[in-house]
Amino acid sequence: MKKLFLFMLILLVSCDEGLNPGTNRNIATRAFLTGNIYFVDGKEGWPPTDSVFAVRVVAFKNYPPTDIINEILSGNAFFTFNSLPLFVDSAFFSIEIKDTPVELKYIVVAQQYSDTITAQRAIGVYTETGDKTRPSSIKLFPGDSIFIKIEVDFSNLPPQPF
Amino acid sequence: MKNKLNLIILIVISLNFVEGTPLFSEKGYIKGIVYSKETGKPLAGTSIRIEKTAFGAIANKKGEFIIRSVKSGNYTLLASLIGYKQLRTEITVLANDTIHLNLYLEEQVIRTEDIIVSASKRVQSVQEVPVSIANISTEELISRNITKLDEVLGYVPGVSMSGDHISIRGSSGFAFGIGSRVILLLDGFPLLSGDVGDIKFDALPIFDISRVEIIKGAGSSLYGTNALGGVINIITKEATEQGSFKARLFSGIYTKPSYKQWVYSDKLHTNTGIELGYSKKFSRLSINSSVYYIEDQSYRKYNDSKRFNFYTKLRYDFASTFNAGLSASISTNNRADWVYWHSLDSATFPSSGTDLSNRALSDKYMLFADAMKIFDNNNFLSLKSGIYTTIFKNTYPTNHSDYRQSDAIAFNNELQYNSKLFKDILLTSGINYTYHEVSSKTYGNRNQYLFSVFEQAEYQPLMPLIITAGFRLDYEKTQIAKSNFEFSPKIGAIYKLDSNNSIRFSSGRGFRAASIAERFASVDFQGFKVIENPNLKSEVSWNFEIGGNSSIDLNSIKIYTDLTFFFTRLSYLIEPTFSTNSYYIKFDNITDSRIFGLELNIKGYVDKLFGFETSVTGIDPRNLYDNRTLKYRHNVLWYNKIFIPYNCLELQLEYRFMSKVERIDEELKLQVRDYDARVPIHIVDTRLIFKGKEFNFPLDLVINAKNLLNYYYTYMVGNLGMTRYVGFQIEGSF
Repeated sequence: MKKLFLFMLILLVSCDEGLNPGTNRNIATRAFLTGNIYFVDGKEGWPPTDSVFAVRVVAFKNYPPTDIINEILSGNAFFTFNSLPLFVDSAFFSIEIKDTPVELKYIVVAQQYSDTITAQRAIGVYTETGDKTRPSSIKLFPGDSIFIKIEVDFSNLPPQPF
Repeated sequence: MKNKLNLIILIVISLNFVEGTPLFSEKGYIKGIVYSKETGKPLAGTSIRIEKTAFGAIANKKGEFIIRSVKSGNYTLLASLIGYKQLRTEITVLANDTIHLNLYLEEQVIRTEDIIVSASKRVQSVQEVPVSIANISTEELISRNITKLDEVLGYVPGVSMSGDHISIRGSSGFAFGIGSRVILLLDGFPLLSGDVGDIKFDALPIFDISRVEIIKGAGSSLYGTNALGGVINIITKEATEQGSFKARLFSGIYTKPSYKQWVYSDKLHTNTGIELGYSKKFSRLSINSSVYYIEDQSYRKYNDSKRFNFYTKLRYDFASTFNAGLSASISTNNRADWVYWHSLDSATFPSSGTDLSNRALSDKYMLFADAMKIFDNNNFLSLKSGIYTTIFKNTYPTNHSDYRQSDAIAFNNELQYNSKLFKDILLTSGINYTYHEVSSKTYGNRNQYLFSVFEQAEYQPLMPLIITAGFRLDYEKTQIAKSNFEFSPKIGAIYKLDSNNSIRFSSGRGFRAASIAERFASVDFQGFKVIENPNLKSEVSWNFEIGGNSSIDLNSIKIYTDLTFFFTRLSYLIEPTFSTNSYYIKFDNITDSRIFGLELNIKGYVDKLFGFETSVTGIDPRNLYDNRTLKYRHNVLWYNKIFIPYNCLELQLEYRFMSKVERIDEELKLQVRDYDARVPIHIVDTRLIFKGKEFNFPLDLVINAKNLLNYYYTYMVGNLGMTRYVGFQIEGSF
């Protein structure tokens, strides 16, 4: 009986407080991908409101990707959890990348065009050359914080990989 | 069909429900008084029953009881009261004669000899049941400051909770709030909603509960659908002649979290409630009533609730061989519609975009009648018939895309006949008709019915051996869907090696018919379209267990041990599936799995010093399709309790451990930030109880702390478990 008491006491004393706000962050391996999205033609260039449910930035490890949902579920893509502001001239984003080092081969701005989360299309792609058919990749190492710019032109969309 | 069936039932019942029908004439009476062996004081509330019959009585304030109209013959009288050893007395009843008995019950600190009604739908001793049983007493409910029944189920060995979902020995995971693989009964009447098929814990009375019986393992051979993983039967109290008025007042605070990111308000939030109860037996009429109001401000923002419940039970003894009862309850709940946290950083805040003005409103109404006619000592007929209505809506306008509404009726009728075949075979036979009708924006206007017959036999070929066997046949039909037949057999045996040791074995089949919600859900859920699948098959389980228990009494040290090995095969489990190509969610029969497990329960008491209980349940739940562990299961559950009595005080300390859930749905990554934040669970609760009533003081006082160490964990994805709560409770009887 004393052993049971002792064991419980040790267990109770030794157990930490469980979850904390930083539990899911491994500071040693995290990095940030941040940037600005510029919408060509500003607020006037956006499609009708009933076809814009959300806009997110998605960064893929693979190119070409299969589809957004499966790549995210399999851990091969990172995304902005909430939608960026809609019907604006420009928007800022920030994505925490947990498992660095990693190479992000395809970074897009995706528009959800119906109330189904899987209804997505690419409206902008990160490219250093300005050629939307040739996406640029970025390597992130622990502690990195890389800032990028992406242009979205609703009248001239990039190739659709999904 | 519904009306015809009711008519037949009524005719059958009414044929014999007339006072004085001379079905047998050689009647005798049993009178007596029950005393405490230690103190010599009368023991009010003692249950006295004639074994293997429906005859019985409850002792009044003076410990007196009387059982009328007992046919002459030899019987075993069973007297039981929580906290005391059962007493069996052999008696002989003579025609037109009255037996006078003085019964002395011995105090029992380790409860191993409770009575139970759920295993065979009749009163019997736990020690005669070949399945694993757990019993929760009203004292345990009150001392733990339980305000909703689900709070106490997490203390039961082998049982874990995931939100409102009960998992008995790993039978269930997290199913998005739909369906229950455990059936919940209130005095034998099923309380599962007609649409979702789930348990509404806020619809249950607390004050009127006498005990909660939990059967672990498949129970469909007697209870049909939903008894896949087990049965929970809430037994309400019986009124006594001295009557009682009880009141309970409690209040407490959730202490501030240790991390400033989780502090969402400057003020401390409370959980406060009041509960009143009255019961009395007036000659032939018994009344039990209770009412409570609870206002919980919660430890999270936008998770508050205001709950009200009224429950009443009336029972009338038309004759010593015929009684009938009527039970009713009304419950309302006005709560915030919390779903997930914002993120682990903001674990006490709701997800972004949550409309804080929206409320979830639900009402539940239960009306349930029952009657019992005793023909003779071995033959009795009982009828249960009732309706359970659940009404849910949120406060959005009806034309809003997020407006949710569902009204459901569950209508249940059961006719049961207990009889004796030859000399030693006790039979329990019955028919059941269940009808569900749903009117819902989400599920449409639907109906579902089940018609069932069941039969169970108990045979005692040798004195120490009891064998039970039975089956149930269910026919289930849901509107526009294919019909299903389910055959659920079971067999069990218990062998008493001596008065302190026994071994048992049981095996049986369980099933759960798909609920209307699973078949017809058609809704946009957080960006996903949920589509219908009307032709779902029933989930099926095959359960096998072998176990034994032993009691050791070494003068001042008493130890009780129970060990069980169990195996469950689960087939056609219904789960929401995410389509990869067509982008929708559909409920489908996808999982085939098996669970091996071992459960060890030890209770002990060192005379006048302390008592303890420890139980460990280890399971290996495996999906047979991919040979990976099943989602949302804790592989190890460990429960410990120590109590130290000292005069009128008792200190209790409880520690619960649940291993980290190994697997969850990865798809939740799209809906919940930090969806994978989970850890092993360690919860310590403690309470100091002042037992005034045992010392002629009218009040019991409890000071309690739940999650004393303020350990932070998730009880399901994106949901932080309750932080530290410190409160007090005053309970009085007048």
